[in-house]
Amino acid sequence: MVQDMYDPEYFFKQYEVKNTKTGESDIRCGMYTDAARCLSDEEVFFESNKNEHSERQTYVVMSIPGLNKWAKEQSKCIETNVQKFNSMTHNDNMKNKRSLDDTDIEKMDCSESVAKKEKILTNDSDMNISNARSKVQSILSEDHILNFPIPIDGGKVCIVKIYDGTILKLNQVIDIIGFISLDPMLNTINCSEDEMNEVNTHNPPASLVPRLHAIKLIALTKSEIVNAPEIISKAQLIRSDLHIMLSQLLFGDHLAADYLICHLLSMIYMRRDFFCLGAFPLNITNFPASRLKTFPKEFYNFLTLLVKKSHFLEVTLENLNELALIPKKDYECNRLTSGILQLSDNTHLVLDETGLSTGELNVTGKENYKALSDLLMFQKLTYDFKYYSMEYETDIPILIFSDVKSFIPCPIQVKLNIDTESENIYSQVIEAAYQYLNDETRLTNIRQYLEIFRHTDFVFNEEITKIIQDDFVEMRSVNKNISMDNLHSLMVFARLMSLSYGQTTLDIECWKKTVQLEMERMSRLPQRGR
Amino acid sequence: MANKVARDYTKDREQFKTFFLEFVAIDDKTDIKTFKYRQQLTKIAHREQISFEIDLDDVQSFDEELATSVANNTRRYTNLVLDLVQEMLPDFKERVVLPKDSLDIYLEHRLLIQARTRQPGEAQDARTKYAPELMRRFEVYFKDFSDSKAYSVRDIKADKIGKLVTVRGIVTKTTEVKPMIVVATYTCDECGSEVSQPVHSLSFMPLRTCPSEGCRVNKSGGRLYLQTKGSKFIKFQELKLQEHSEQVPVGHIPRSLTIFCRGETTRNCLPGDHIIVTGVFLPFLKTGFNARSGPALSSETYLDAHKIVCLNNVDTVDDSNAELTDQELSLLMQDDFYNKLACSLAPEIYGLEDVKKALLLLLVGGTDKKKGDIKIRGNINICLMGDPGVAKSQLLSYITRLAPRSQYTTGRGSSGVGLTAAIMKDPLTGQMVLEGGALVLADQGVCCIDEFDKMADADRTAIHEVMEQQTISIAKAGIMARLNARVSILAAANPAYGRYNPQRSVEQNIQLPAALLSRFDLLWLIQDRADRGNDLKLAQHITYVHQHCSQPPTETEAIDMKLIRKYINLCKTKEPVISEELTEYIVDSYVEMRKEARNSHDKTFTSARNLLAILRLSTALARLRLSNVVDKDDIAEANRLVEMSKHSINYSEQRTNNTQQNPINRIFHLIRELAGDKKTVKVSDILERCTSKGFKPDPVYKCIEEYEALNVWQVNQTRRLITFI
Repeated sequence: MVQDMYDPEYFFKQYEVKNTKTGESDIRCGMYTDAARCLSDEEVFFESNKNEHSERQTYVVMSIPGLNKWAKEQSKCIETNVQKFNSMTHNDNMKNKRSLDDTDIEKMDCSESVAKKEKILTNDSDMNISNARSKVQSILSEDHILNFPIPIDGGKVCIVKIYDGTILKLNQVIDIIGFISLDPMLNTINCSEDEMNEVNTHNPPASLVPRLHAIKLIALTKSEIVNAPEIISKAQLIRSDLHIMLSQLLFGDHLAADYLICHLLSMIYMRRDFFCLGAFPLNITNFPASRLKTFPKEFYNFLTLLVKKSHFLEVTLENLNELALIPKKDYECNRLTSGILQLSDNTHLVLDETGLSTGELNVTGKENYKALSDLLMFQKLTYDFKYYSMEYETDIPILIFSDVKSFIPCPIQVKLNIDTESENIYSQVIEAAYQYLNDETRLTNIRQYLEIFRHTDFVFNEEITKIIQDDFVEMRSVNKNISMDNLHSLMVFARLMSLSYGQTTLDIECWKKTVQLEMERMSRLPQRGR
Repeated sequence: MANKVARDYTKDREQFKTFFLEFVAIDDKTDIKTFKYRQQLTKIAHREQISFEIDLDDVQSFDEELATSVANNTRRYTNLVLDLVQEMLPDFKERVVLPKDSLDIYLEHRLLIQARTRQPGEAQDARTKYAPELMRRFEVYFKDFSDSKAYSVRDIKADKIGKLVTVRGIVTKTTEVKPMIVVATYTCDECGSEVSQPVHSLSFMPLRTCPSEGCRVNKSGGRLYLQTKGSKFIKFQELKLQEHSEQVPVGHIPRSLTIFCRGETTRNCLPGDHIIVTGVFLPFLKTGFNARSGPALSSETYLDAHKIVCLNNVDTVDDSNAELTDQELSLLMQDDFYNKLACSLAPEIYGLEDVKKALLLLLVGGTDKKKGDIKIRGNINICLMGDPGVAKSQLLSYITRLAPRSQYTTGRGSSGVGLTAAIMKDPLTGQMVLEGGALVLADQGVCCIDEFDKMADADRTAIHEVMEQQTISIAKAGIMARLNARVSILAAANPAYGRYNPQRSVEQNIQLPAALLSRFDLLWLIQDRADRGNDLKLAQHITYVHQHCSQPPTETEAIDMKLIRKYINLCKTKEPVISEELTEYIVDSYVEMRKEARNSHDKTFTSARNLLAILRLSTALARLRLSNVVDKDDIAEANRLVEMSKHSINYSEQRTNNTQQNPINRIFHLIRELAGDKKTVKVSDILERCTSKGFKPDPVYKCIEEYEALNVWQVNQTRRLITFI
């Protein structure tokens, strides 16, 4: 994920090297490397007319925050395949596996043999990295340099230099193929005292933050799934599997399970200023929080098995007041200090409000609250640049667990209808669910199902829109509280419902079912005092 | 970037010389001719001025080619001009200049000593031994072409290296102003001779051995020692400039640029200031990687500042001030641009055209009138009322985003102090200081107050003054002050009991005093009405959006926010007046309005303030047309808006009447039934029938009175019989 962007660098695209002994000169390429390559008796001839200047973009890229364990493993095995074929370094792979091991002083330049590279790649020795780190004398702490929004197990950061002018967006997820540079000299720079912080942050030890000179970038919008047609044909089946399991986990509530499936499938497909379509935030309330304190956490653990990226955030008073949710520009170090909410698109954020107590919110708390509610309502996050703020578009599905209606305004609240029996045997239910997912094909099916249908195109037919229009007018005449927002969310819901059944258009049956579900959900909510 | 065709610099030097000597600036107004650069040179010669500023516009009018080559290779020409000016200066000296600082005296002494020790036969200029920089007491700056575009940091790329560029941005970091060595002077411990070394970069290698004739010949190996007294230092400051948020493309991090300020350009700005910098974009090599790994290939860049203009917050020059292009103008000048602009406000909110029009006028504002002490505000205040969930808050937040200066608060979240101004004790000095609240901060802008009804009474009174006088007076803790708060207030209020009750008056519904409500030029009641036609349209709109992921094409395409902002800024420059002929028309329409208000059961207030409101609205409309005169149509439209706003309140009851919620209505229906075909009904019969239906006598009498007033029936004198008409 692209975490920060530094200012572009100017470098010599080609430069002339003069041999001080023989007086011979040679033109060398300055691309894909950090330092000039000269032998001991050579020096760079800076004033040469043959030197060419060029510009390269610098990005700070890190492991995808919130990537769940299974997804990590998956990407790993894909990458080993890649290696076999073209022996290129893969970004994720590099983060996961590549470490310094004993090549601390070894320079990685273009001339290195392919075989050698392979060796480094396959050396899976994460523990060695600690050695390497201890060697590096750094004034700044590791956490400061890594700057993760949320703790990432074995997460890596890397500075990527891009030559072809490809423009990346913040928080974009990419695969990078390029030359790695682990020159330990990269962080030794003379500088004055007052610039210390900035220079040190921008030039971290290469052992901790390697440099990568990109030759190819692959934007990862959707992952390719090989057996997509098979999954699509089995959509109904997989859905019912998922439905059974979720409804059991939600204390036998079928309605909530339907909503949750839609939530898991949601993705923004249209956006205009502050108006976005496709988000389907969900607020699940009325579960026996007093008896099953760990329910949200347990449930989240379960979700991590299903979705690729997720993060669990306990919303408590202390957390609100203390955590840094919003990314902030640090001018001292001239970089973007990440906040918890700096997540890549489609990272499921689960908020647990059960631990929230009464008390005073301080300034940070208020800002954090505003950030959360703006994120939920508009899918936008305002980054703090001290002198002004900037909005970044996000696509983070939010699921809130709370006793009663969440204090973060959420348009869709589902009040659970609890089956007392399943409440009593809840621990068994969880166990059973894990058992259920032990079936490898079932689990992968569900994962692929969620991934495929999130990205499936969908169309509304002319006929169905007529019916929707008439139904809406009908609803309005019965209940005046229904507004255009309701229709928007209803249509998003209908879309997700039919997608979840594997259909790419909306039919009457599904629409009726959607309306019926929505009505049932509304009827469970306490009526607005009239 | 070096020029491909080498320029003849000696020729350019001559050109500059004639330019300085001959350039004549003509004042537009007075027609007085002045030798602009001669005057500057004279001042510099007398040490009254330090910076010598050359306007490229002037150079261009003198020699166009020269001006372009200066802009492309500024550093070189700066040095060229420095030498040239130094050479020319003695000619401009008209009187003896007294030495000003120690360096002057030091130099004077050295020159004297040298003149004394030198053999009379040796014709040598004493100054050659010293670096020319040491003698130079002025700085040369170029001013960019006045029509050059201010770039954003992002636009400064490698192709700009060496060129004079103008950049706009926000200062994020400034270092302290430090002395930087320009000329280092050394003394030799052996022979006592002095050596000077000009320094051009950020770091320098001090000289060690004495290069003087004596030491070299004797091989005495004299060591050199740096002399602070004889060295020349200049002020030096480093700035970090960051892109302004508007200039950053979506999903990117703002970029920053290092700026070096020397001499007179230092201390011109503080972090947080918006500035426009003109300077030369230059690279410098990283002074870094140690020898083992070889020199670095990348180089840092910086902007050598020539001129810094600090934009204070009030007149932030941004893109919105740029001229509208013809294409944009033609887009705006279409026939229905008024409707189109209005529709472009918050396009995601469906309908509410009149409200949007009113908001558009609020953004444009009427003209202030000021004559002596009498001041009539031109800002338009609007209050939106309505049921929950009718997009009031969305409208407010849209306006906050659109207006260049705006503040958004909620009634409950802001105290009177928070809105107006607070007196604070400065923690450092212990002094009392005034700190402006939301209304002060929104001066010359829009202040949006949501949940206006939920504001505490005490806080609300603070707004009274703002809304009419447009000032805030403070008399607290020994500070008496009057702050300007020329704001338009846009308030949103919810009805007191959840839903708007048409049976009650506005004050009762909103629970705001009439004194405050009358200060709003327009009061809109937005109601969410179930109406088949409207609902269907709404449904069609929404389904279309979902179906095609875009706005329906039939609707006018929303105008870009930036363009609206630009246009509004343009509108604000107009000061339309109301012509004599129209006054009568206005008076007539006002009298008519008053008459109507008296005759009908008006729940709003029609007072002299309404007349002012109409004037304000009509001037705003004229501004919107970019006209300097108010038209009759403007007044008609203003009247219509006022009328519509009244209408939204007065006729809100229609809906409830139809649903027969109203007891009086139901009684009327009972009476109708009772009467059947007959023309007359006895009151006693009515009472009997109504009590059987559960009505008390009071509403029955009320009903009879009400419909009598409406001339539906007549009641006889004893009030026992009613006759339908």
